[in-house]
Amino acid sequence: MNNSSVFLEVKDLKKYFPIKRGLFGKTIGYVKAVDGVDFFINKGETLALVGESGCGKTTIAKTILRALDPTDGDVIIHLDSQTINAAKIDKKDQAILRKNIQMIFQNPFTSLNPRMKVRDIIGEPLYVNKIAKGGELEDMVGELMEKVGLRPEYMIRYPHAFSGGQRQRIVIARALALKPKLVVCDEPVAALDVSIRAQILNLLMDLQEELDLTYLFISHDLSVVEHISDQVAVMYLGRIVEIANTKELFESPKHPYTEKLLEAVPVPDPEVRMDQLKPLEGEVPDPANPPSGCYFHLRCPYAGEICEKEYPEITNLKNGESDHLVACHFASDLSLRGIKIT
Amino acid sequence: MESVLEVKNLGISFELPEGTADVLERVSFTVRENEILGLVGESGCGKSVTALAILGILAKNARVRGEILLNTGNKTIDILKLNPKGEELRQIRGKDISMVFQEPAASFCQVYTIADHLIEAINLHKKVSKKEAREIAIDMLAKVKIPDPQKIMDSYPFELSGGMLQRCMIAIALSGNPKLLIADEPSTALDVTIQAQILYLMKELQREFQSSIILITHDLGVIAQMADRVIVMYLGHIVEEAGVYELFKSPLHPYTKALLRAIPKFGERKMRLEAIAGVVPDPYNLPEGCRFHNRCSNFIEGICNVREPEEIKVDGEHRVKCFLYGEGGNEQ
Repeated sequence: MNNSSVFLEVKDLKKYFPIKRGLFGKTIGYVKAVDGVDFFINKGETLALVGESGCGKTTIAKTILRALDPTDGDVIIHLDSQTINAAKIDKKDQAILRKNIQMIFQNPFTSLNPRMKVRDIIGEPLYVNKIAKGGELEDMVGELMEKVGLRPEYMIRYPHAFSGGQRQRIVIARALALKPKLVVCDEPVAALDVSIRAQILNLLMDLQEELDLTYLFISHDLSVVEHISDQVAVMYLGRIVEIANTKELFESPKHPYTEKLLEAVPVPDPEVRMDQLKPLEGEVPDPANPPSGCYFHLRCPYAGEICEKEYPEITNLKNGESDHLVACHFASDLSLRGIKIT
Repeated sequence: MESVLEVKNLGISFELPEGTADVLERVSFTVRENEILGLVGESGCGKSVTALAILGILAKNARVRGEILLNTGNKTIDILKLNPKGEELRQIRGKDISMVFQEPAASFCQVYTIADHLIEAINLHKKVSKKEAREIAIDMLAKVKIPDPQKIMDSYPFELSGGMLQRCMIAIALSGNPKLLIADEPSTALDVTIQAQILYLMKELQREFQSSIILITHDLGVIAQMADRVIVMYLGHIVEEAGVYELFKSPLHPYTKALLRAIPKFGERKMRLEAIAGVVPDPYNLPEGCRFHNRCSNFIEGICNVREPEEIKVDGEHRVKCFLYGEGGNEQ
């Protein structure tokens, strides 16, 4: 690991939501939405978080942005001039986070205020941070719109006049207004049509190269993840079960859950029909009441006795130079089926 | 092979304050016995409207033209000729044709239990006692692989997960033993692993119940895994129809080709995707001529933007609506 190039380090991050019952709102337990997560992202690279709904992907994103306050842990951001800990930073100093971390949301139909003109939507971050106003602001908004492939004349329109793909471009322009270093993309193409999805993915990749952006990319679509990311972290019930570089993870997964996720993706090729494969059974357990031992053991086809009792430590099964972290008792014994990628 | 359903020259338009929106034009296809027919296209192409028309449950402002012929074994019925509120059509819904909707959580009534939903569907089509209906219902839940069906029967929809609800909806849809099941994006709202479970289940049940399925989806991956034959739609037209192997191996229509290129595939890391230029035009100003011409990479000036292409039979089952193929199209 080359420490100088690391941009974001997340260390033992935890976010617990209390479960309250009764008249006096007594706390009777916790939902451990994020339970001790460690990862890092290098500058200019993309880390994808994948997993089923409810596994804590979005909670991690919100905690990094401090839209939610973490229960415990550190989120260390290495800026050029200084290093800050987003998890510990004081509420009133959070403006520095907003300048450096921005978010692209999933649904462009709900993340734009229908009563604001596009000029005001994209210009707001510039205005509230006192970067520009008046004519200068309009020029900057125009530039941003051109950058994301929208015509600057449209800045006087309202969001309803735009299609889904164009709205997502507005959301991206707004996120880029403050020249952030890290952009959290939370399922940015899930709500879009197939032909538009490709346009937005291309745009995100172009912008990353042009502006040297670092992405935390949240998605449940593994073919999109394979396309865009450098590292992939697989989550299950609030914990990371496997993390490796994309090629390594897709070609030789070490965690049974990753194998099953890869199998479940419908491949657009009728020659490789998955008729024979039995899909992963069962559903994600209730995070308020997780199973004993390894959280995945109830659905795992390879589970042994130890899996019921102990949660496996995360260990590094290095493959040459590249790190491959996995939390499974049998990780080094199993030979799991991956997907060949070039 | 016999056909279960034949759609002939189906056209649908909606009367709206903004004007008339022609959402479907001259759509013809057949559904054969025991097959999964995939309908694929982007939002607004008319996939769901086709499904709703087959069940006669379109909104009041819809104007429908053409024929939808249902083959019930002993006679052929034109669904469009029936009174949409009449008893005859009500008997067809659920018994001959039933439907699985996209959003499981929104398709159940939250104040009734799963048992209420299931037993209502059973009682509509079978003369059985309350006790027998309950037994059939439990049997159906077991068929869709719901663990502990006795307990789930008396649960309310909000107590169940999306995957479980989708299983219940399939159970309801299959309770009348329909000849044709229409599944409108049955797995889109679900996680990948649950999606795989539901698709696997639908295939198993299709074999067991010997019914035909119209599978509506925008996901070419799902189509490749599930369908026997595929219809590709764009802006209310069928642009291509072929067997699933044929379609993925040698797609003909520029739109189908573009769609297949636009999806990220395993093994193409960090490459630019070939996106389709532009956006789907809005239904009030449909392009003249071929509806795809303004986004097409093979656009021929003076032909594509003037005339609408005829449908051409390429070989056997492969139909395509494009000027690039066959002289036959130009003769007419």
